[in-house]
Parts: sequence; C-alpha cells; structure tokens
Amino acid sequence: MAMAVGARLRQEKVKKFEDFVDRRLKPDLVNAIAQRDNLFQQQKTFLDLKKNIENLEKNGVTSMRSMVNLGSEVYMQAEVPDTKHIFVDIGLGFHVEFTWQEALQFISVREARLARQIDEYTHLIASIKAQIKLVCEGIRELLQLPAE
Amino acid sequence: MATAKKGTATPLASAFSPEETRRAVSRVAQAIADRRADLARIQGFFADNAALVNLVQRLPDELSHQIMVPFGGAAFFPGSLIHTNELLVLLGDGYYADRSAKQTTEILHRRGMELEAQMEAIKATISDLEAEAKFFESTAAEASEGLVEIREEYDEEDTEIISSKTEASSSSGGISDEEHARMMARFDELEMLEKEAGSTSEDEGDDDDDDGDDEDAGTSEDGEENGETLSYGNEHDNVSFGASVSGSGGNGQSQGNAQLKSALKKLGEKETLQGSSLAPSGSTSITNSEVQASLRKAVSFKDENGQIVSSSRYSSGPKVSSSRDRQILPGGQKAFTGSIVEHDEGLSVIEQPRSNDSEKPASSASSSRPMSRFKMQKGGR
Repeated sequence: MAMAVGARLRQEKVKKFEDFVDRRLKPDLVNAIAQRDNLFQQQKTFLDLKKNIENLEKNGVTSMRSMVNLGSEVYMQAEVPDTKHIFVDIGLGFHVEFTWQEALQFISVREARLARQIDEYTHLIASIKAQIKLVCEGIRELLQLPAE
Repeated sequence: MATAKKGTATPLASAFSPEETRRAVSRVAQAIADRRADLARIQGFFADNAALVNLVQRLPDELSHQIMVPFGGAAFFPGSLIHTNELLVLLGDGYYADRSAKQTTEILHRRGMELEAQMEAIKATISDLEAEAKFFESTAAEASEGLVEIREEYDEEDTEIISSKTEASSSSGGISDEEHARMMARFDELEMLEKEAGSTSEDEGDDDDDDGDDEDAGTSEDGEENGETLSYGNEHDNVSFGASVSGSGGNGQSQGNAQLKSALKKLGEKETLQGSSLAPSGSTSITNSEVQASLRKAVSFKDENGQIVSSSRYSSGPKVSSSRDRQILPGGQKAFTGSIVEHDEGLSVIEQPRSNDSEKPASSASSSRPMSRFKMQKGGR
C-alpha cells in the first residue's frame, strides 16, 4: 500500500518535471535561439553595410545607381546623386544622417553591442540547456533508471 | 413468423464513441484553422499585389520620383527613381524580364487571378471541412441523445412477396400473434353469429319480431365488421408500405456514400442526412399505432410529415409502379409522420476522394434501383 502510494507520488513528480521541461524550458530555449538568430541577422546586416561603405570610400564613388525592389520582386532603377550622406538605422525606427566616417564609427559601436548581446544569449541558451539536462537527470533518478 | 425480417438497430453511440467523435471534431477544427491561416496569407499576397499594380500604374506618370534608396538592410541614401517605365520583373527561378509598366501590370494581373483561384480553392476546402465538422458535431449530439440507427437490406422481391401475401391473407402477412389471435376470435364470433342468423332464418322464418331483431343485430354487426376489415385493410396497406419504405431506406443506405458526400458538398445547408427507414421487426410484428409509438420512443423523431410523404413519392420514381404508389400513400401518410436520420457507418467515407461524386450516382442509378430520394429532393428543389 505504502509502496503504491509512493509509486503514485513518484509518477506525479515525474509528470510535473516533464511538464516543466516541455512547457517552460523548451519554449524558453526556442525563444532564446530565435532572438539570437535575429541578432546574428543584424550583425550580418551591419557587417555588409560596413563593407559596402568601405568599398564606396575606396572607389571614391560619389553617385551610383541601384535597383529598388518595389515588392513582389519587381525592380526599378534608382539613382543616388550624392552618396556622401547616408541614413543609418539606429534602432526603434530612427535613422540618422551620417557621413561615411560617422557611419563606420557607429557601425563599430553597434557591432560591439550586438556581439555582446549575442554572447549573452549564447550563455542563456547554454544555461537553459543545462537546466533541461538537470531536470532530465532528476527524472531519471526518480525512475531509478541506470545512468546512460 | 414466415416473413421474419432481417435488420439491425444499433445505437449511434456504439458506432461513434463520444471521445472519438470529439477527436474527429477537434481534428477537423484544426484543419480548418490551418486552411484559414493559409487563406489569410494568400489574401495578404493578393492585397500586396493589388497595391503593387496600383503603384506600377502610377509610377510612369512622372519622369522621376524622390525616394530613399535602400542601401543594404539598415541604411539608405536620398535619391530618385529613374526610368520609371522600365521594370525588371522576376519570372521565377532566378529569371528576370525587362518589362514596361503596362506589361508589368498585365503580369501582375495574371498573378492576381492565380491568387484568386487559390483563394477560391481554399475557401471551398474550408466550407467542405466546415460541413464535415457540422456533420461530426451533429453525429456526436445524436449519439449522446441515444439515437438508434436502423438498417435493413433492400430486397425488392422480398417486398413484393410480403405485399402479395398480405393481400392474400391479411392475417399471415405482418400482424402479430396477439393481433392474429384477436382477429381469429373475432372471426369465430362473427361466424357463430352468422350461423345463428342462418339457423334462425331457416328454422324460425315465420317469427317476424325475432327475425327483425336478428337482422338488425346482423346489420349492425356487419357494419362493425366492415369497419374492422377496413381498418385491417388499412393496416395491411401500412405493412406493405412499411416494407417498401424500409426497402427504399436500405437502398438509400446502399447509396450512402453518394448521399453523404453530396450532403457534404452542399454546404451551408444544414441538411442532415435524412432518410426514412422503418423498424423491420416493428412493421412485421406490431400494429401500426404500436409501431409509431415504439419508434417515437426509440428514435428522436422530427415531425415533418410532408417530408416523408414527399420522399416516399420521390423514391418510388421510375421503378416502382404507380399502382403501388397509390397503395403506399394513404397508409404512409397516416403511419409515418417522422423522419429518421440515417448515417452511414464508418467515418472513412468522408476521406474518400470527392472526384468520385459524379460517378457514384450514375452507377447506383444503373443498378436498377430507384434513385436516392435524397438526391431526388436535391434535384427537385
């Protein structure tokens, strides 16, 4: 009788742990990974921008032509008469008019910040993974299964 | 009983267990939600496309437009659109075509039409699924109400045998033992009276008073007898009607797939599958009123008198002779005032490809059976 009650309690505990892993830790992990991917994307964007600006600088381009995507992959030619001033997205929908040098400076700051954020998320992801592992080990012990 | 009928009466709840129906409903609901998401996505594309058509049509109005030219994902330069009548359109698979604004508009229109067709297809699927969900829900509701499904194989010859038998001798056909015994007792009684009357007329022909009394009694008895036989006749009619109706009910079931699918196809119309079938044992062993009463009890009737009558008229379409038709109707109107909801067993029917729809009715029609009354009704309206 006591054993049966104990078994039932253990079952309930295992169920609780599994719920915690499935409903809390795993969604958290997915979320964190998505956030980090987003940051990677931004990092890449700014890296590209830096390269492009450096290219413009190197070639001394003062005017250029490009194709603008109007939507649904329909493009139209566009002309930029003056490339000295560039508007860069600084976040929250704000764009600031920079010269090339200013833009490069800003991009380096931004890149450092992005790198730090990515580091943070990497740590977060690692810790969530560790927690999942821990809870799984706990379940294993409760069920008295042999270690893998 | 010589004409014991084979038929089954199964509670719907046993065929469709509640949790299974619930699961089916939820699965269909999930499918509907998925399709709705698809539809919303495509509607988004369609709106974008319409906006782009508008834009492309307006752009060549001016030689250049002041815009911010994007430079990578996070920056742009102030600049302008030039060559406003030259567009580069992605045809797909990495191929681009130089098109004028007008040509681009045409391309975009064609894309819009394609999107519209897709939307229509998804809408049709959704309404299909909704009908399916409705069907499942009504099935679940009926199962929980304790509805009973009655099915019986349709056998035309059998039916005819019964009706002829009942015509020949109303006692042997489809009347219960009890009823039979009662009738026989009545016959005996009448015969006795007749004999008595005969004997009195033979023996005491000169006794006017007595004779008159007897004759009076006789006529009144006769009247009663006539009434009785008339009512028996009615019953007999009803029995044969019952047989034929149940037959057509069985037939309806044999066409169940087509019915079911056509029902599913007709969306919005909250038609449940309605067919009339008759408890075979009931029709053979119990008298009319009893049949009605017991059926009322067992089956949740929908009292739509006209529907059944009309359906029986429809079901006796090309194959059933008009004489029988006439024979059927008066009794039928009296006897069966309800409709019994029929369901085909096995939910897999719905999963069957719908392309068969057009073929099914034709094949079933060719099998020398009267047309599904369900279909006739649909066609009639």
